[in-house]
Amino acid sequence: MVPADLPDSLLSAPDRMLAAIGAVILGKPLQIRLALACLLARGHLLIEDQPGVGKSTLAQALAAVLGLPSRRVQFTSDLLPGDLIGSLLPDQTHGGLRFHPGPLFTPVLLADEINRASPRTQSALLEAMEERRVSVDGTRHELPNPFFVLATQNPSDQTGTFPLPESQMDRFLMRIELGYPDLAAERALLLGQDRRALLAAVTPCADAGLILALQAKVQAVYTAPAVLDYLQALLQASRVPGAFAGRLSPRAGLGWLQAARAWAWLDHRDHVLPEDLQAVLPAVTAHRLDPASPASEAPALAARLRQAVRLA
Amino acid sequence: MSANFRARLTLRGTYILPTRAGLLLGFAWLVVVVACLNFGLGVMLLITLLLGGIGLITMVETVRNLAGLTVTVTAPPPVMVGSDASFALRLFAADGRPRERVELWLDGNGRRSRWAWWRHQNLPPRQRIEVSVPAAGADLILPVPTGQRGLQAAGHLQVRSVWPLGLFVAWRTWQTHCAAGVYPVPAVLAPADARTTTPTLSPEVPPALSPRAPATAVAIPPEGDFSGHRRAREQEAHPRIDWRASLRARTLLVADHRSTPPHQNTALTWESEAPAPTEVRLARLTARVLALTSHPLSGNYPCFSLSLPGTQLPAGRGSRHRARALQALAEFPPDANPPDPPPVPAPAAGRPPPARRTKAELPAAEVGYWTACILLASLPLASQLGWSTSLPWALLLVFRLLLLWRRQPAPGGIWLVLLPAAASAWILLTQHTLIGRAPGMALLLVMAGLKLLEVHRSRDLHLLTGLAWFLLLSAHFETQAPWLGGWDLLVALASLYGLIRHYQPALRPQARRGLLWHLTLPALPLALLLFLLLPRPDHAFWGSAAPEGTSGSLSERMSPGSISHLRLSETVVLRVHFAAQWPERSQMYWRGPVLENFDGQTWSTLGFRLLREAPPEHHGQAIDYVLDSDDSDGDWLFGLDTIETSDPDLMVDGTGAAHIRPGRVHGSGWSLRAWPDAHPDAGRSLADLDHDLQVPDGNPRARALAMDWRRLPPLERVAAARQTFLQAHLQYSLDVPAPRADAVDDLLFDTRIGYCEHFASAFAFLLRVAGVPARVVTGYQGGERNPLGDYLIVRQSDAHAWVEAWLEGRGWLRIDPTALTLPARVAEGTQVAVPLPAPAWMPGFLRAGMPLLHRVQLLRDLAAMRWQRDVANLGAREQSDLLAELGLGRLPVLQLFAACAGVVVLGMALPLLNAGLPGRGRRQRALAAAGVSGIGVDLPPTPPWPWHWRAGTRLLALAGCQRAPDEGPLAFVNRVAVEHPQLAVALRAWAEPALRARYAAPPATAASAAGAASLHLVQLTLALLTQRD
Repeated sequence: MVPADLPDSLLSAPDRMLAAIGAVILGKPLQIRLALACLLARGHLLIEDQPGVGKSTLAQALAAVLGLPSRRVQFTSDLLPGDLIGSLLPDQTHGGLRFHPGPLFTPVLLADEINRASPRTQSALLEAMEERRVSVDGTRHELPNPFFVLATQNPSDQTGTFPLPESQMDRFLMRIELGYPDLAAERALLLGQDRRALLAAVTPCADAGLILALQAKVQAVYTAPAVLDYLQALLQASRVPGAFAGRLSPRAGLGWLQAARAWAWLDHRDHVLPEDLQAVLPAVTAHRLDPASPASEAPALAARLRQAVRLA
Repeated sequence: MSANFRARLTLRGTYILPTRAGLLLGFAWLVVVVACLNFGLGVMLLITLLLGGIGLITMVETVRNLAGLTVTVTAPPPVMVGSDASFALRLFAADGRPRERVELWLDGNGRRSRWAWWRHQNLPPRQRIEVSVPAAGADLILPVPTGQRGLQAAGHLQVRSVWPLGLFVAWRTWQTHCAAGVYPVPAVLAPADARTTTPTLSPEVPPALSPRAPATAVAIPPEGDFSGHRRAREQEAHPRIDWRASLRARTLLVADHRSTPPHQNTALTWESEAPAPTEVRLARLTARVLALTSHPLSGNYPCFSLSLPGTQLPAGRGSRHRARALQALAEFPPDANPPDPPPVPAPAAGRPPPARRTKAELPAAEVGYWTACILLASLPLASQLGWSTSLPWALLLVFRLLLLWRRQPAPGGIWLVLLPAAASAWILLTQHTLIGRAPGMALLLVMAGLKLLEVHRSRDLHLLTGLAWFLLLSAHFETQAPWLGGWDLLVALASLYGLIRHYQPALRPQARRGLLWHLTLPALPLALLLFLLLPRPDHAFWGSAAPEGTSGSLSERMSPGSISHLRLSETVVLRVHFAAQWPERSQMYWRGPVLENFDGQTWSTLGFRLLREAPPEHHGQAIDYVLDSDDSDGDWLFGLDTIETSDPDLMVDGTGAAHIRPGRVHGSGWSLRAWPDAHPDAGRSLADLDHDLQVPDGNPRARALAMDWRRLPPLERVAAARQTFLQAHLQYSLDVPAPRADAVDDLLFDTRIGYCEHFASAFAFLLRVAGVPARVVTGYQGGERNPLGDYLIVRQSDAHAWVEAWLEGRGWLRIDPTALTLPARVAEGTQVAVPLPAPAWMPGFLRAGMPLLHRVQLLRDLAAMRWQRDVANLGAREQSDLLAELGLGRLPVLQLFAACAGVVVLGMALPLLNAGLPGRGRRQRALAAAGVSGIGVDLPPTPPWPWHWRAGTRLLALAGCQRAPDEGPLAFVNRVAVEHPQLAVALRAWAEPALRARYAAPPATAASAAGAASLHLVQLTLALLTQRD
């Protein structure tokens, strides 16, 4: 099922990326795969877990492997929108005001501990994430392409956190949980090198052009009517009154399909199977079906949705 | 305060009754069944039993729709009087079978009531809810209006369903013992009043902490213990705002650092309120409690205590304390004599009146559909009645269609009187009466046409359905041909589909058809069994099904030409099964009316009828046979001469002709015996037989000839007459000149052309003139043997007339003058003796194919014979024969009834047994495939799996590897491959093309994968087999 019309570099790039990140983040192949699928599906990724399980490391590794310029913003409660987007400053040479772009203007944005920022700052991210551009003082400024937000958040019951609004939750294509490593992985981690040193040693496997090409290829993965039927049935099942706290929006459906395509592509397939939809289901739907639920409840929510629909 | 309620609907606890529509249709059905039994209309009975079976299946489906459901009720948090207590209900089925259109209501009546199940009609619509329950269950909210403080009971909960056709309603009612707290409505306090109740905001703040900046209204101490949040004021500085708490509370909050002295306490007491009626005092106290705790979000509750007569609430703070206080107020016992104007508006009095069903006109498409249905149902009857009688019906239908086409409403008022009157007048004009069968049927037609003009509600559709049945029934009086049975089936299914269409408007046509088959197919075996077992009456309770009027066959009169014109008719009259030995052709005289009056032209029967005193002496061999009489006018039964029968329903008259007793449900299968060599009336004397010697005037030449014979002994007179006929060289032909006054002279001396009636008439005339008593017997002669079923077919074209002469001591002797002239008529039948010329339009090659055509006709006749015997005319005796043939023996009526009841019970029980089991049945799959899916939404049809995948999965299921409902196909294949590693190669080879066919992009070139697929399937089968070994 390997498409024959592709150069070798395109074909092996995802595998190389997976392997490179896997060398840094040990024992988490599923999460790494999901993160990569999210990127290829042009979505934004939210990583939620306890401190210290490697959220930021994964985000940094991803950025490093992608070979894209990245910036990291540590979100705090006193972070203001201007600190993120940029601000208008007096121009010494030409006079008047000039826009100084903030850290948002980067292909990969690491938003660390995003739920520590105030709602105001978070809402500043909304337009940027969906439209991929920002408006300052009535002027639009396009963000670079590709633009990818990798956010980490602490579980919302921790002190000093604000829950993310549903509108922003919906803009994250996936929410994943890292979880503690298993015994073997943790032993390897303890024995291995310093993660920071490893991160510094990561060699980029891609560049902006390659990622754009990959995203276009993912977009072209074929989706059969039977798969669309199944997707629609799942979306409808989530909207049955009283079934779930939240409902899946059309945006969620679009993103889900795109994520399934990326998943199929990572599997070296040129068409989507229902299994691809199911594979990304917990990551794509759980934070939309119940925005207040922690990531640890995602499998249960996903199972409920899955079982509500009979797969023909 | 809140109690959860949970109940499961079981088969035993579910009640079911027919709805009004069900009763109406049930009554119509019963009438039709009784009519079918009474008139022996087998075909219609079969269709009606099918409809009854569908009714039974509908009933079972209604119960199955409820059985196995579990319902839980959860009480809501307390509310204020006047607002709705919204009880949360959850419905789910443990078996995972989706349920359709389940209605629920809560009546809010906490007292036990025996008649609560009947109350749904008076409930406002918002307290009822209709929901389809998907496999995952359904959650819903039912509001119950609150009338008084205290507790609002959820009351009785009813779950009911009229799925699928609205003919039956199944329900279950419970007393829920579930209640929501209802707080009194707070009174509106005067501002001064309110201030006294808010001590925490009074100037007890330490002076040191007083506001430093009078420009802002903010009074925030820089230091101090955190004591909760308060709402931010205007212009509050942003750094003061506690963002985290604000986000949770959805309003801007500021951390409050003042401390409230713990000893500060507001005492709310009954006595501190101004004297007022109990409810007013309670309302005021409620208002104070609420005012004290008006910032529930901040968590900064002041401390208060509540003292009511009989209830003391110590000082406390916090939301639970507040709830306790409000509960104490809510549960305070009411006044023994409540004041006249109750302070609490009682919504019970202002309850909206029961919703009246709006008289919505049915959509035009539906009216059009039913018009087509009625048109179909009335066509057979209308064509039978003739177009002049059914003209009003046709006009009404055209009028209806015109109205539909022009999108105009049906006329009302005076038209509803004028139209029926005009139609009745027309029927009176054409039929000359309004009483009797034909006018009655015409009126029924008109009624159907009129009913189409006022189709507004569901009830009208049920009436139309019943009318359609009656229309079909009426058509069966005339004929019971197989095509009419097929037509009935078509109309019955069409009307059923119309009902489904009306009651399930949300279903897609495909799903509706699925439902139709789902209801019809299980009813088929039920209907067949009931048809076989339902006891038939021996005699009609009233009336008779025989059609009125004659359709052109033998009658009690014979005049020249009355038999020869029957030669052209190929209608089957008799079908005869001989028990053992076939009689000679020359003995096959099927005896009918015996004509003894002669007026010179016409022979007729005597006006009266005497019963035969005793069976004739008989000699020789008897012939036993079974006769199916197909198309007889009057009560004649054409038996083989000489007839003997022990059947109580038959009587033989003095002339030896058999009659069917009135009231007998007409049918086939007359068991008779014939004595060919008998000589009836041998013992009578010549004096008894004057009427057989009477001769009218005329025919002088013949009279002169026969007068000469009077001198001869009687036997020789007969011989002379025979001789005369032999020598006259008569010609046997259908082309007989028009009769003149002296018909006998004409035949014997002038034209010398005649048919059997002319010959018989002349021969009897000669004998009578010669003094020998003679009479003419009409009936049939011969017949055609059908080798396919080995029986004899007698047609109208075999009609014949012969002569009987009475000789002293020998009785009546049969003499056939036709046989003297043309022996072939008797020896070989009319087909050979008087062949009809082939129609002019028929081309030559078709004429050559006539024998083949004839064989086809014989085959058709065999089918018609079986249809008549086993379906259309299945009377009591045929049923008994059939059951004996099937090895069931001859069952008495009571046992037959018991068997019918058994069939009905079994037919209902079998699907119900399945009701409690997980829904894996074929029907569920069919329903799901038809779109009645668990999630209750219509999805575009999914293209089917390729056949090799379906066959393979079925094989794997047989081997114990079943795919879970939500398991992906590739995941399934991988799982099986892991569980059975030796299958892995075959599995992947088999699954890969199927998965590609379904999910991959269609290939540019359509490669033929069928061969490879079947190869893979065989490979998989082999692997499975070897693995199982």
